[in-house]
Parts: sequence; C-alpha cells; structure tokens
Amino acid sequence: MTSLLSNRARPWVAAACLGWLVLMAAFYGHYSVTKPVGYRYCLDHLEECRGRTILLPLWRVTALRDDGYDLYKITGPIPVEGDPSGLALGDTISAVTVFDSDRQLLVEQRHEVHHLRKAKVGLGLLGVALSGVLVLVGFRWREGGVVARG
Amino acid sequence: MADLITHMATGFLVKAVTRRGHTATLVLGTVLPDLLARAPGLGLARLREAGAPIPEALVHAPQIAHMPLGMLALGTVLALLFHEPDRLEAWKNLLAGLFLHLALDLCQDHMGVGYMLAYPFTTWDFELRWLSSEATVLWAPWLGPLSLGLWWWRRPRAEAATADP
Repeated sequence: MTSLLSNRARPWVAAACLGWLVLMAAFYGHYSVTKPVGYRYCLDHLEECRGRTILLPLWRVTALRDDGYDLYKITGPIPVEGDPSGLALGDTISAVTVFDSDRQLLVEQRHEVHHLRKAKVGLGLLGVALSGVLVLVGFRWREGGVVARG
Repeated sequence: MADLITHMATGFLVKAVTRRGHTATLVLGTVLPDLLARAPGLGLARLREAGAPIPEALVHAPQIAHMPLGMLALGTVLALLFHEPDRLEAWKNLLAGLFLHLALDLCQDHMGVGYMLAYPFTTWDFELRWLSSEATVLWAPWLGPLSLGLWWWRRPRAEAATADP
C-alpha cells in the first residue's frame, strides 16, 4: 500500500480513483432512473407489477385529499390512496404501499410520519458548519500538501 | 443516514479510546459521505423541483460517495493530498471514518430499503434495522459535547512535555 501512496505513483493512483468515481457515478445515475422497481416502472409494466409491494422511505407530502395524498422525492408527485389523517403538507413520511394496476395508483398498507425530520435537517446544517470549522482548525496547507494538526 | 453531529461524535469517541493522532482526519471521514453524497443530492433535487433542467440521473449520481467502493476511491484521492510520510496514516484514518459512518447508518431502519454495499457489482442492499432513521436526533445534543469532552480529556499531550531534555 505504501508504494501505491508514494509520490511516484500519486498521479496514476489519483487518475485511476477519479476515473473510477466518475464511472461509478455515471453507472449509478443511469441505474437509478432505469431500475425495475418503483411506481414509475410499474406504470409501464402494469401486469408485471400487479399487487407488488412498493416501499417509499422518506418521501415528502405535497398534496392531501380526502382519500389519500401525493408524495414527492426527486420524482413525482405519486398518488397514494390511504388515510391522510394526521398528515400535513411538507411532512416527511415512509410508506408501505401496494401497486393497483387497474387504477394505476398506490394503496397504502401503513405509513410512519418522521416527526423529527426538521430537527435532523437542523443538526445536518450545524454539522456542515462544524465540518468547515474542523477543516480550518484541523488541517493546514504547507509546501504543496495537507498537514494534519494533532 | 444518521445526523452529522452523531457521526462526528463517533469519530471523537474512537479517538478518545485509541488516543492516537489524526483526530481531524478520522472525524472528517465520518462526515464526508453525507457532505459529498447527501448534501449535493438534496440540493440538486430541490433545484430540480423548482424547475431547473437537471437530469434525474445527476441527482442520484453523488450517492456513490456513500458506497464502500466509492468511499475507498474517495479516501485514497484525499489521502494523496497529504505529504508522503504522513499519507498512509491519513489514508487509514480517512477510511476508518468513512466506514464508521457507513457502520452507523447500517444500524438504521428505512423499511427494508438498505444501503448498497457492493455496487457496481451487485445492487443487493442491506440494513440492520436496529434504529429508526431519526433515533440519533435525540442522542446528538448530549453525545456531541460528551464525545468532544472525552476526547479532549484523553487526548495525547504534547510530546515535548514528556521528552527527555
């Protein structure tokens, strides 16, 4: 490992790692929009998806109706039939649903509201700020390289 | 993902126990997966929702920084920024932090939608489902200061103070 991290190997190892990251990102991006699961796939494959369970972890409520609600996460909105009581616009929920091929919507089996989501986002923002402080305090740039303090 | 404060706290706790250097390097490793994968993904998703012409694939692409083989490459690239004599130690600490992050996240429950541990070789995913995805929000307010305090109390003192004259 030491030789792979040597100055002589550094340009090649860096190029290989960056190339690997770019390839992985490209493959994963493509996979994410073409994977054979989820509501969108089921709309194009009604018979294959009849009665299929679809999990929706951490989706945001974007509309409320008497008989259900809409969810959004990167794509959507996705219509879900289920009990909207206790839900508010903007809530983050996780839902277990079943795809109804005839009506082309999801029928909720159960859902869980993530009441602490906003607090978690707040802690995330605080973490980003503290990470910046950590970089400033914990490292310095000297003679063309990073030096860790302590 | 657990919250970033709890992730940082796990790094400080490890260093409080091991009493070795490179604290900042390991703690940085514990936050990098969320800083490089989740934060850009969330930002791009918001922009896309607001109508920006961002391809959906681009929103998902940064998630590779949260996968083991992405972490390995990421940790190696960052370690190469350090000076050669210190590089191996930096690499070990970065990877320790990155995989500590993943270990904590694996404990969570996302209704069975887990983390891909061997992408791009398989899309199999896994999670232990021991904790709700918000469980650590209740830990962070006390675990963060406690871990920092423990690390400060147990940190290696300056070598000069004990060195022979």
